[in-house]
Amino acid sequence: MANIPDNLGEQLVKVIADAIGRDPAELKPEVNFWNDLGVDSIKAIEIVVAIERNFKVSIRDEQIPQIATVGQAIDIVKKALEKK
Amino acid sequence: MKKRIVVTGLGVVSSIGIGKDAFWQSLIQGKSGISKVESFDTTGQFNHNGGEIKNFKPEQFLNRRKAKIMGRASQLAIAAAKLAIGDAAGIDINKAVTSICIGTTGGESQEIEKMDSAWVKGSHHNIDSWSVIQYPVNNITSNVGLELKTKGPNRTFTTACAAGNYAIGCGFDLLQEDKTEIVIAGGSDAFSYLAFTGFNQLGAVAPEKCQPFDKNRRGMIPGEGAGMVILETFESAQKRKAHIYAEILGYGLSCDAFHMTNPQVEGVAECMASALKDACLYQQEVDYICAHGTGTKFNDRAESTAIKKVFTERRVPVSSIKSMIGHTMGAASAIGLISCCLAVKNNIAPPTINYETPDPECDIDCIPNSSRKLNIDIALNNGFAFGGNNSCLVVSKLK
Repeated sequence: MANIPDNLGEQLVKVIADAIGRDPAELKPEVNFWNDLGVDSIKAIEIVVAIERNFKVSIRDEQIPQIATVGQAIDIVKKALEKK
Repeated sequence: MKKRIVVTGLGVVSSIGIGKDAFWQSLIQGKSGISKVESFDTTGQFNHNGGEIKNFKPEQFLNRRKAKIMGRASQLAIAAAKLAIGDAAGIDINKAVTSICIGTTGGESQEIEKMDSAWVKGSHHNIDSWSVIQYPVNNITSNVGLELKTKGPNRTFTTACAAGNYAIGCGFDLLQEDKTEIVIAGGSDAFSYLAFTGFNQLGAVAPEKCQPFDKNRRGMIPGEGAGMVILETFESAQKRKAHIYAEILGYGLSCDAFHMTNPQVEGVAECMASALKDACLYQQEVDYICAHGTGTKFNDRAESTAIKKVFTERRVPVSSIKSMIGHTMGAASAIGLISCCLAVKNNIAPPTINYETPDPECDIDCIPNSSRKLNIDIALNNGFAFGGNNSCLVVSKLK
């Protein structure tokens, strides 16, 4: 199992914020990528690439629709790190 | 963890050159392979030009008797495969498990045309039995396997203009999954009266020349050709000290589910984005795109819009080699992949020739008329087919 950083949420929010050009303070756990941030499918893929590169995890294509909120992104990355 | 898959041999048969060196020199010089059609009468057609390979002699690659009973698409595929194998010096395709993956649009279209002609002019009794045996589309792959005596699992892809990419993508997967040791993959299509007439009837053909992304573009120019590559793992290539052209990092596929002939921007954009995802790349890392760029109003507009949708941070240089060789159908994306391999190796992007007037609806950097020296670490190879079947391969300079 990979070392899960204590501030995983904070790190992930920063990575996602950089990927979509937003202020990390906007990315609360309940914020919805599609409805609240106007992320489309292309941007969603960019977010996933940023997550994969920064956290050295692999996120399958079919998992992408499950990452609707910032909180869900944190859960999926945590689970991916636990599997490593 | 993904295996590293590399390209160690290139074989191309095209209207601008047979063999990778002749092809590449013509490509970067912006030579056109379009000329007056000679293989059939074009009286009454809107267009009379095509990308025929007039100097192709099958007997240079095949025993004359075998060449006589085989369709032209198979002849082209075998020639390209043998060129690729020769280029991958030292490879032993018979010692290793070797698979063949080939994409095509029309299959052995000339055999179908012969049968139709015999039937219409006379009766079904006039149909040559060899045409019946040779016309099934899988025969191209079978004929390559028979000639090369390879016994690995073979696959044929019929996703039309994207079929070459599908075939190479499948080869990539087979190697990832340890299902084969060597892959000979690519695409082939012969110059076809059916396709020529069909595209003329659709109103999709330009009267004289293919002008991708130009404001006054009138359509595509039908062509023919074959492109085949040798794929193997990086470890395998290293072991035999092979010359490596490039690495395939991944690919993306999508289906628009929108329209039979008109591409959909979102589907095309998702395909390219999906390719970046598969290769784990940021958009900023792409240095060049070998476009599908058919020269039709619909494709070029949709592709330009899709490129701008995906690549928001900068204008990535894009070019269409169809401006030079016409639309080689199932071979198109395979020949495009070969162009990308040579582009990353040589740091030169081929041009889009015949470009005269910018189109605000195709507001991209299409490398007009002259090739361009630039650092190309990552190239994308696009192939978008009828039915909205989209493909995009990611090629990288070997690191």
